[in-house]
Amino acid sequence: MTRARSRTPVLVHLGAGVAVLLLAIPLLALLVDVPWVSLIELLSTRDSLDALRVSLIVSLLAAAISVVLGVPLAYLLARSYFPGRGILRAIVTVPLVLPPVVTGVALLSGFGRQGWFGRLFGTGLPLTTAGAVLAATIVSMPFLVISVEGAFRSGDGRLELMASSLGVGPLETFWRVSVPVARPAIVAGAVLAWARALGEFGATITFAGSVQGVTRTLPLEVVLAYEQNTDRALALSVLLLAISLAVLIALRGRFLPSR
Amino acid sequence: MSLVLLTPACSSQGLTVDVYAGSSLTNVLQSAEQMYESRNEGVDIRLNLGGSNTLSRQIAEGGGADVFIPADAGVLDDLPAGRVGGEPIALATNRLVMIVPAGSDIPSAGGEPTPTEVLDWAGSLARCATGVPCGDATDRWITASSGLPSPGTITIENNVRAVLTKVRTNEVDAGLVYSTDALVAEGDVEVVPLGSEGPHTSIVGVIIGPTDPDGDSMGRMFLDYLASDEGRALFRDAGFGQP
Repeated sequence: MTRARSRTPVLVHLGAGVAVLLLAIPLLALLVDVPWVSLIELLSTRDSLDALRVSLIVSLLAAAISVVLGVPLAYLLARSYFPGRGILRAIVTVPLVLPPVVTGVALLSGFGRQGWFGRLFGTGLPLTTAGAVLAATIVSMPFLVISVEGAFRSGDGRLELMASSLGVGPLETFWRVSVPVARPAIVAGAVLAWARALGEFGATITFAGSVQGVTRTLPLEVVLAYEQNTDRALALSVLLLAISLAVLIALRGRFLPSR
Repeated sequence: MSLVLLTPACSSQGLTVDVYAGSSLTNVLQSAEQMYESRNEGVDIRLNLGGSNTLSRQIAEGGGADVFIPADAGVLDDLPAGRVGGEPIALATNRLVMIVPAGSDIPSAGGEPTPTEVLDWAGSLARCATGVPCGDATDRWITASSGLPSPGTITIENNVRAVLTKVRTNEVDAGLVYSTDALVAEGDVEVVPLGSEGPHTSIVGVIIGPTDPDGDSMGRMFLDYLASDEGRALFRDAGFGQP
């Protein structure tokens, strides 16, 4: 340990120090500005509580759907070889780099009242909680897929080969061998996906709108509150920060490798 | 180093005028910018368009605006006194209207549906947030006209153009915007006038000072242009009322 530390160049320390400052300064400034005295009062308004409830429902559902659908997708990308796999991977990961507003506009074309979905079913997903969950899922699933695909890829497939030579069927092999081996990556990916879903703003406001108690999540409430009452916006921001930090710290200790 | 060279150089020569303006003024100011720049070679009108309150906050925090034209004069009250350089110049007026997607089939007793009939029919409504000018105008209208039916789903947007988009793309059944926004989306939306209760807003421009004297005089010239007969005509063509 000591030796490793003494080898770290000064320049690296310097870079790391500046990085910590850049990340920490806005958070510290936020904590200084927050009206602590009236915090509970500001957070217990009907609007704030509604936003908290919608945020928790939407982000947890988005993370759950990301796991249920993303793990099979990651497995396919890691273990199967088929033409167009590179293109598929690009499609899966493009929401990572696309501005969320663009994702929201694309969602309108696909699932809006005037979009494909609307023409098929006569109604769209905008202004519904399902729409907010869809927007959050699309922007957060790539985090899970990337994390889990790496884990599936780094396993060399020998365990799976062994299982199938013992007469275990492919589905059972996937469920009993591949998934448990990739579990730390699945948990890490699920946490990342959840965190991204919790912070989601652009796709949600563009696609799902800002309906109180239905699609208005905490980030949307922060932006709205910022127009009316800066104190409430700050209080909501600190709430969002507290939830995120609590979950990231709790899970880091329990599930993620903390070398 | 390069930052120091790039940014102030333009404005210290007085060639760039930073104009912060409410999003409802997008189209008219884009036309004015084009006209003004073609007349005055070397002058660059730089538009920063957005929610008036957000812009006001940016100015209060030291944003480099030379001219500020919010969607309603009331926004100026929030600016720190030291940043407003001189008296506001009246440019135009606007009024709130209700819009519905073109081709909406609204049951109506008379020939044209009334706002109440629209709200009775609409399942969803988009409006501006309380606190932004179009949202405050919406609140004034609701207070003035008692007993309005409320659609089941109301989405609240941070600026008037977001409301317009929601109606224009037919994702909501109705919305409340300025009459000039409705004009921009002519063909996509139909206007339902609010009648005598329909609130008006007044659009004024002010010089933001005193950080940049050269920019200020250039800003004054642009404001004078907007208040001139030619500028007034641009506002009129865009559907604004005369001040």
